[in-house]
Amino acid sequence: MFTNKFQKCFALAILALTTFSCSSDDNATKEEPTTTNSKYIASYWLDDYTQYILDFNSIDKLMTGEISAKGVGIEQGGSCFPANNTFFALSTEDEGSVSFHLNSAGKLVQGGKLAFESSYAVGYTDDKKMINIGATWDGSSSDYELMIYNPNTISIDARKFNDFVVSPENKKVLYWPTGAAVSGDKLFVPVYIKDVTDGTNKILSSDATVRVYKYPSLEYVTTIKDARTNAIGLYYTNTGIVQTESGDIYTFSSNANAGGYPPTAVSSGVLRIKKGDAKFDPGYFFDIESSTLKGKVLAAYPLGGEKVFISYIPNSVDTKDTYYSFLSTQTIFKSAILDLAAKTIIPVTDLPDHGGDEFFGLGSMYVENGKAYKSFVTGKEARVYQIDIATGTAKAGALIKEGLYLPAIAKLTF
Amino acid sequence: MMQISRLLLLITIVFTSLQGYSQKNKVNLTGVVLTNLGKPAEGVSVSFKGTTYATLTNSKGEYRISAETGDYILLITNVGFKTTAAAVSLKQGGKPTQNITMEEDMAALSEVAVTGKSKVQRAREQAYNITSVDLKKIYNTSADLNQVLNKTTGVRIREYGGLGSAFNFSLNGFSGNQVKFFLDGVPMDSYGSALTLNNIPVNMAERIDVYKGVVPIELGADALGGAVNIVTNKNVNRYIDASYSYGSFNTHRAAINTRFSGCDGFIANINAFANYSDNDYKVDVSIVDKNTSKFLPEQKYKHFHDAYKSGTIMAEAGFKNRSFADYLLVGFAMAGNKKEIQQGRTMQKVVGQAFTDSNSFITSLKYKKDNLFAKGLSVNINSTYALVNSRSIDTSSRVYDWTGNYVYRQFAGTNDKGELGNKTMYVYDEENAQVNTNLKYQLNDQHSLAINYSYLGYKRKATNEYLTIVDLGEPTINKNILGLGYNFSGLDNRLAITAFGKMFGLTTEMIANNVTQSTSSTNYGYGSTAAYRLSDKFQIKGSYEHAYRLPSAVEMLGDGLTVNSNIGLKPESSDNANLGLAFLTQKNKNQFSAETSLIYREAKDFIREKQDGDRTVYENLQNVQITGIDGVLRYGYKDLVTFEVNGTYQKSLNKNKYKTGTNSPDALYDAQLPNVPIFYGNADLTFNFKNIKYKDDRLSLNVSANYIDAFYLTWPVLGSLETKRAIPEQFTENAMVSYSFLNGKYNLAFECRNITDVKVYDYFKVQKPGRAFSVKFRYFLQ
Repeated sequence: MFTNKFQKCFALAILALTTFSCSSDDNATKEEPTTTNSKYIASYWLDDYTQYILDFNSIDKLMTGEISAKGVGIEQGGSCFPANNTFFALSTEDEGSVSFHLNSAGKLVQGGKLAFESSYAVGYTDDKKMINIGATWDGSSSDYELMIYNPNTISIDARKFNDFVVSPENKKVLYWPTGAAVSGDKLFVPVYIKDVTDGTNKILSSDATVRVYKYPSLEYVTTIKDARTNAIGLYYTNTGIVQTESGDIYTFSSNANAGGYPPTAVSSGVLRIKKGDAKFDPGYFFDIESSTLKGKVLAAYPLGGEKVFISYIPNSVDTKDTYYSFLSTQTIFKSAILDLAAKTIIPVTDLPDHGGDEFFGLGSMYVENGKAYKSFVTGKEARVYQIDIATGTAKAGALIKEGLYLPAIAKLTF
Repeated sequence: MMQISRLLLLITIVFTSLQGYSQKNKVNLTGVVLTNLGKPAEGVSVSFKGTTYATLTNSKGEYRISAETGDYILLITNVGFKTTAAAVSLKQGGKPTQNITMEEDMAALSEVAVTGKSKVQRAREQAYNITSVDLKKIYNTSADLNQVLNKTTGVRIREYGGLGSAFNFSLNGFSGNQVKFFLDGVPMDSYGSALTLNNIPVNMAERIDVYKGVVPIELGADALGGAVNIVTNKNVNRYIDASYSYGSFNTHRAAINTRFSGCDGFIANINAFANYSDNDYKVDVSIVDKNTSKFLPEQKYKHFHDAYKSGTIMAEAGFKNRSFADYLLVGFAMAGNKKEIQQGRTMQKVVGQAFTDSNSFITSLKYKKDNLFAKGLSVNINSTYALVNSRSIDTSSRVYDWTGNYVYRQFAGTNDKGELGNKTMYVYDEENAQVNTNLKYQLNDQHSLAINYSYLGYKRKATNEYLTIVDLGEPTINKNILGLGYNFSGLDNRLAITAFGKMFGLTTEMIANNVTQSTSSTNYGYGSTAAYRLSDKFQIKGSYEHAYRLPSAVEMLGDGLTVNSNIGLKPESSDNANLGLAFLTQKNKNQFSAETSLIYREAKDFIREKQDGDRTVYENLQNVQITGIDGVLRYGYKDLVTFEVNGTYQKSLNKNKYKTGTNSPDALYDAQLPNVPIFYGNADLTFNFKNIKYKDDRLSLNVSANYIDAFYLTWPVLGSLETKRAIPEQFTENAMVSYSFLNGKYNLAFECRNITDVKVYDYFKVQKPGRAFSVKFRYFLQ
């Protein structure tokens, strides 16, 4: 997706710049160029749902010592997402959403504020904007609002309502969005089906389903389904849909109790929508459940190229007792790296079994120089781990002191 | 003056007792001093006029005074009573007795200057860590009890807005239900929201005793961190006290308190009061542009949906000083209120339709008898039965902004969000039965035993039109508290010691989803207090209690609106220790006093409110340590000037070793808790001028100031301070001028609160009223 792309582009640019400057001027100082005009930003959540936005001069700070908000960090509510060289705290609370950026002195400052009434699914666009989908949780209305947030102007560029009802005859059975991704002129919104007839949000089994819209007009096009696996993504984490560097869209279906779905006879796995298409690729299914991992994929994070990092639960561990456990700190999850195009698997080693992602997903993994960084709850403690993308080897980093999660990590420049 | 006479008296007592050894031809005169109500008068000065022979009565009103044979004038003097004299003749070999009944000095109650030890001073001298607020001095203020208490050490009352708004009473770091409220010793828990401190006018009570930490067993309570007892005026036999005040934001307050006493011991009290306010004060907020969703610059907007009204009538009738009872009173009270809601958790959420209301019906029976069956045995029974009906209504799909305009909520549907949370029409009927029985047996002058038994039965029935699943059924809670105490006073009343034990029993039953859940627990508390008068000027006191508090109905059962139930909630406990030092001196016409106390609290299973989805739930969680120091300095020159300044500093530290529900170390161990005031203080200066235009008229000028240091909504140690959500440092000033004439019969007062119109907050982004004026007229007749 775009952040990843952006980060890659940025890294490449820096690299090019370095190479260029080195070649053109042999006397140029060989200081670390990555730390001069950039900073690493991380949001840091505590048990009591307070959040601090921390900044670091070097990525090493994520790998050594402790991460603590004692005396430092900007106190700010909301879910944070890196967005076009800003750090956006999206909140539906009364205090509003806030965009942060680095000023010319390299200090993280507040840019502007925006009010969102509802936010249940988000995703990135190719043109470095964000999609937000507002909806009614109890299902009493099936009209959800799709909007395009522009980080440059800190405003909403476009908004459109769309009826998410499964069939017009029964307004009590609805699609619920779990994420969003834009490739070219299309917006893809993966959904699951819920039944609100008895006043509860009962999740039904369904095929893998994606609603397709035109971008940027947000006009509804169609709903595509695939029976080879079932519902895509998890409620609120936005980690069920990934656009790789090729522009292809991949979707991840858990078929797992841990993901909050009633499992069916199909397999947990990955589907593809090829760039430019508005349908699932009939020739592509990456079956994770019967792969060497013998697990069910819960969440996926882009690593650059065609690779993703996935969090999965072993088939044998996923039972009725683990229902919705992606929200818990139980250490029942494992991780792996997939090459989606080549359908190859590299298990992540040296990373202890870990807890779920809670409500944090999109933006929680940061990739730089062939390494991925993300925080994990591993029983007694929570730590940042660095994962080598080529080998899958994990290395323990900084200990997270007061809280349990770094829901978003990014690099901003000034 | 009185202080000096006391000092002299004590010296005389010492001399007298010395003389007792040296002279043998003395005759003892004994007797009992009673008040006009027939109660033993304790601590009354008894002396022979023109001699150095003097003594004080004991708690039964008894005295013994020795002198050489001869004729004397026996003088009985006490504050609040007329000095009584009697001629006595002491003859060799005789055993003379002289019983005296004192008459009340009405002047003392009609606000004529009283010097010497008032009841308030006596209360302050108890071994408990107590702050006693004398309301008689401020009867002309338009303030309610909350505003008065907010000026005392250790107390911080945090309000969400103007008149009638929700508030949180905190006392030395404990707050909410951890502090118990009493009206003449009867718990106010069950009285409903119309009968709370912010509704009750000052004129209804004589004084307020604030017990910090250790609570006497007589109150029969399971308070964790202290208690507040509102003591009404009991000494005047017939009076009318009527007042009306009008002020800013269209605020009206009216109160009438009256008592009738017949000669046959019949007595009737009526207290009634009403409050109304539009609360249409201005606040500084930014609103959102509907097109761009952007926040606009801050502007001033008026509250438009914040009106409050409440009314209460309390009537009590019965007998006093009859053979079968010192008093036997049957009471009935009715109270109701309605509160419009203006905002959510912060000012960013504007509300224009939701409201709450409640009605309470309370019956009570009070009985007291001294020397029942046996001399020295006294019994005191208070019981109440209360029915409270409360409603919380939030059914609107409108989204208001501060201009008073609204749009309909986009994501509301028909059944979804109201203005504050999920739509609700929550109605609950509460039934409370409460009995508090005290038995006291005075073994002799120095020793007494006391037993307290208190019972609280609670039942609730809740309905909600918007709830598809009714989950509470009819829950019941029964609390039984038994207390045993021993009191010792000796060394000429210089030393007072109390030791006590308490047993707390709790049983609950709740039917949810056809499953009956019940719990029961028994816990034991104990404690001791001691006060010692080092000299005439110094008193030192210390107290300790291992206290329990049983969870309240809302904490266990929820409120159906924003709080989920947790029937398994355990009682919370705390070890409370206090050490206090008081100093009082008088020179010429200057009076100076100083008090300080150190507090230490170690609380376990602290009941705290935790976010649980959209709602909250109470759980046993934190271990908290509270340490603090507070102090007060008072200065007075005759009756002309009084000045008081006080300050409170307290630290509330997290003592959880592990993060919630895990065994990983809690990095916030030993950190200051969030959202707790740390340092605050008050100053108060009053001038009184008498006989200005008429005889016995009186002009009072009062200025007061309040300071509170900034504190933070979240853990203070986390984040950089400039970005933290803070309740800012504040300094406010108030002034009042009042004029009384015809010996206090007519009173007129003009008051200005928050003179400099500073922005005032008790909660994060919840602005309170700015500058406000009020005028009060009061009529007092006895």
